Amino acid sequence: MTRQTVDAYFDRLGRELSDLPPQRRSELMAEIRDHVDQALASKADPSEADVRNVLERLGEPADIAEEARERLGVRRVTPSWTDWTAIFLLPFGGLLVLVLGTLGALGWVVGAIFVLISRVWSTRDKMIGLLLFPGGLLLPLVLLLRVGAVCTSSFGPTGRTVRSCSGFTLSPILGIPLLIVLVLTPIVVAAYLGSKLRARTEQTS
Amino acid sequence: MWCMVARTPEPRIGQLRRGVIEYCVMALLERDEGYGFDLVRELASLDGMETSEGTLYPILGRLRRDGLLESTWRESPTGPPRRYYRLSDKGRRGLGEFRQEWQRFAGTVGRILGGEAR
Repeated sequence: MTRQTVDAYFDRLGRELSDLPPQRRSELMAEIRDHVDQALASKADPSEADVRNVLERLGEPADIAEEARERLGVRRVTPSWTDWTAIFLLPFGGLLVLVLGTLGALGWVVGAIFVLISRVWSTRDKMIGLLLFPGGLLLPLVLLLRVGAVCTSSFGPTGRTVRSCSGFTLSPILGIPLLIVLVLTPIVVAAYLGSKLRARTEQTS
Repeated sequence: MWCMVARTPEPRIGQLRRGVIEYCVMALLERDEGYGFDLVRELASLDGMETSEGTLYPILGRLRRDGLLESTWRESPTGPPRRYYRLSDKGRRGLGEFRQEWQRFAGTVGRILGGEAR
């Protein structure tokens, strides 16, 4: 019974300290465990009341963890609205050109700025978000609008109809898989950033 | 000891305590090294401290990380090895500076609170 009480206390302490760097956490746990052993060492067979008394003097695990976070300069960073907005704007921001014209391309740029100022993603994740597919769905959109879209027919000098298309054309065998890749990549990148979007801790001092 | 700061209903006193308690830990180790457990028990039982024992361990960890305390493991006659803390040279300098500042500060605050300064 007394063993269970001690174990339950350390289970709670371990959970509360989960924010700390692993080494700090295990050192602190070991030292407090040693404290409990030491405090009970004078008793041949500690009673439940003895154990409770020792744990009460130690204090609440949540208070110890709070003190540890402050003293060791560890702060919880939770995702902010700019992070969520960035996940939306990176793939879809470029599509604002449909509504706003050229100015709409700024949609992606705003998303990119939000990624850069984010405190949640690592530098590596930021680079993946920004460099893997700049512009997001803007590029496939432009291609889609261009492919075969601007074709003009005119009578050439020899009297035959000449059909000319500006822009960029590809045979469907190549074009369709390419388009699928171009559409999926920005979405996969956004999903990746989303999967990394969770509370983490940060060293403040 | 002049570490008369308690966890009381007045929250600002708690803040004051937070600021000075590290130096109280260092001052207790000024003469001789100490076992973490004894140190924590002593500090938590001092009049006016009223801190829970567990919250003192993160302070020891912080002081060790910052190089103000050093620790060594010593064999114990009864159980596993024990971690003993000792004030480092850097800690000794820091404590000396704090002591001077504190005496100036506490003297002035004492005069103000006593209504002498104007």
